[in-house]
Amino acid sequence: MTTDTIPGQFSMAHTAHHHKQTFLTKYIFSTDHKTIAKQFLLTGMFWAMVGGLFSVLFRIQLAWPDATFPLLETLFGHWFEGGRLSTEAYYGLVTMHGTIMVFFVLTAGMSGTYSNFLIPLQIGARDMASPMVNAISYWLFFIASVVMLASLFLPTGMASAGWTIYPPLSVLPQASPGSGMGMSLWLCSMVFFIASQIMGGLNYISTVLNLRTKGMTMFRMPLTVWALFFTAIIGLLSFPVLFASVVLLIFDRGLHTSFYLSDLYVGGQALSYSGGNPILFQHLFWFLGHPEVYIAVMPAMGIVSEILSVNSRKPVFGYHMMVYSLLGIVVMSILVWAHHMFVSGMNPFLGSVFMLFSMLIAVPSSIKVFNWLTTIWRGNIQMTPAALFCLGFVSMFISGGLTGIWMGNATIDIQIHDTYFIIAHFHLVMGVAAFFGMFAGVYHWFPKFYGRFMNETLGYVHFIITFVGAYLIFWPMHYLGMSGVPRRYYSFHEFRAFAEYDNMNILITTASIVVFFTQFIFVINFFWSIYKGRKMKTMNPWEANSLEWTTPINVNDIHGNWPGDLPTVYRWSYDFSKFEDEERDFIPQTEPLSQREIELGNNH
Amino acid sequence: MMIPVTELYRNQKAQRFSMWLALVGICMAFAGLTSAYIVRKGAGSWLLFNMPEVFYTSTVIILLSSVTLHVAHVSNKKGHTNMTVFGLGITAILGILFSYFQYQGWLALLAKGIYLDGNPSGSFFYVITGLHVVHLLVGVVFVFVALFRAFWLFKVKRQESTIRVGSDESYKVRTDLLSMYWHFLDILWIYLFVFLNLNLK
Repeated sequence: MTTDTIPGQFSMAHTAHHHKQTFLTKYIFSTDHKTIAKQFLLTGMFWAMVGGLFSVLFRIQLAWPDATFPLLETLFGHWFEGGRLSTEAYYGLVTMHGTIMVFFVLTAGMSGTYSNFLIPLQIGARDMASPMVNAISYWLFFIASVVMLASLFLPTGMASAGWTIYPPLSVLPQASPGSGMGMSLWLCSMVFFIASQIMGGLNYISTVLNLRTKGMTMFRMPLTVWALFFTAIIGLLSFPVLFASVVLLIFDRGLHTSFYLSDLYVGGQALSYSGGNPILFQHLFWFLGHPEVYIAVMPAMGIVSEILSVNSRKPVFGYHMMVYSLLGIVVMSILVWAHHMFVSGMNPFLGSVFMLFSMLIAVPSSIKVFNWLTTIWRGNIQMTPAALFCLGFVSMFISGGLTGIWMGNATIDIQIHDTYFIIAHFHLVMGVAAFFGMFAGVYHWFPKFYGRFMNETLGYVHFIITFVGAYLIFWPMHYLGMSGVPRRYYSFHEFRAFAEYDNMNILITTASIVVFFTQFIFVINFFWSIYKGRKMKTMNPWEANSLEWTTPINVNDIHGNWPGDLPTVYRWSYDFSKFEDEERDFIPQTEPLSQREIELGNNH
Repeated sequence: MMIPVTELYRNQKAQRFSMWLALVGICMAFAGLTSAYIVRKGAGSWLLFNMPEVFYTSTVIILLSSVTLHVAHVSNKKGHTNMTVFGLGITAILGILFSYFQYQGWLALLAKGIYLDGNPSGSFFYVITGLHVVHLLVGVVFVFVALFRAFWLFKVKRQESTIRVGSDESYKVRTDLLSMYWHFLDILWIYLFVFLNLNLK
């Protein structure tokens, strides 16, 4: 790179060598993908704590509906007037817990962190395709966060129509206190959020397809990159449809169009809406809403594939099938949305079509589970906290996935629709599982994030309590759901048939409080390790093959990732334990094929 | 740090590709809206009305604006600065004119008694055409940006002969992205025009 260079016009050319960076340009308004990833991670962690806290608050109401907690009134003011959670605040907290966890943590926090951090590092790129668009993506998410956070402090309360914001609750400001300003801010926040996700997503896709380094063919990419790539595709196809549905909703709210409402009477007065259809909103919403669960869980799938392979010192079993099953999930994820609507009054014939596709999606999912199990089978398993969280992911994914197949049947779904059974199902399969993937990623890539290791002992404590706690919370909910206990109810005083579950609710709430406070162990470990953790002394501490471990230890000071030329790739990233007689059990991607391999014929 | 030409070229390719993806995103939003339109129309009690003739005029205008932007784009590649600036200027004017005629079209609809908060067939018409105009106005802003950059790069800077090769290259990529976006909005309008015309009769 001596003669044929021209002065770089693009911001990726500006490095620390040339510019004296201030705190503001380095940590705040940075266009470096690594910094943006950390911004997403920290914002996501903040939201995860808020979302988790909210779930504990409404769980307290479900466990002890008659008790008063003066302490909570001191802490949370009018939400706990007289020491008891008000109904409005209860619905607000339920809504916000869903919104925050699904969108702000498992979409922005997850894809934002890992796509930004891993895609350029693992494919050998200096930065994203458009670093500026990437930075704008974060700042739009930041604005969305600020607006959503502000809505929590409204005297009239936050949005409380559920995270699915079905009309008419979300359209009519008079429907509930939270449907006024709270709902308006919710919608405003989501418009920024959608713009952020689309800008991020098109960058991720474009980077993967255009900026792979020499030798990095598509089928040599680590599965993390494949998963993040497919996640971005789903997001790009489904978030604009959510945008369309939100725009129509805003028109219904503010300008009295009748897209979603018809013939409504409130307090004996006929409203002006005529000719709308609330089912239309459900179709538009779930066209995003269902792919959204794959947006949450697919990055975790990629992370788990990568970390399990590294930590069992074995190649991923069925690499190509892993990729094709991800592709299968992408295609099918946008063909199953109406299985959320079996009781909406939709045509039953349509229901059976969606039922068929919902069952079929079990095929690629089981292929993945089978391949994870065969990857660790007879492996030399390194029980790091990251590996444990990956095993936890597989466990949660199986437990939650099995009930998914069962519940995909319209006949069964009609019985258990909107009960605690569905709560148990989706929390295990895409909530806890995705969180476990996220934790695993943090423990595994922390040395790359901050040049230091997280404390392992605290990691084990964090894992054990969270794992056992998650099952204690969600396993009993299956029984509640099968007996017909409905979700989202404030109290079951009027339904004494459910009185026998009072103790079970206390058990669930106690477990959720313990699990919530256990997360502080993780947060403290995280921030303590940034400054005081064991320093990373070698470039490749986990002895992994992928390219991020060929960057210098101080990679965070280098905008451009590799100080010299970009690395060249000669093989896939899963050459673990290839030859039993060699002392080293891994071969980095940057290593050319040995004479022995050429003779044997290398197939990756 | 100097970036090798091959890396720079790949990055430009990636930026063009990102624009294609952005267009896919916009497509999906309008696909969502027009599918909602079809579903709602199928449910009955749907008001039929003729599209005001002003919309035919605006269709011609947006087609013309694509031609003028193409002229600007080609002239820029050949280095004909004056034609570039001229083409961009006309395109901006035509873009504003298109928005004005769309506005006139809505006024004509109101005069017919088709209101935003009336039958959903009218509401859909306003929302879909309105969202298109919003996208087009964003395009107009970027045409102006390109216009001022052209002035700056080719008039001011070149006279001071401080212009760098990279600036030209970057300008070409930007105009590429702009014309992709603009032609896409043109095609999108043709689709919406045909779609709405077929569904209103």
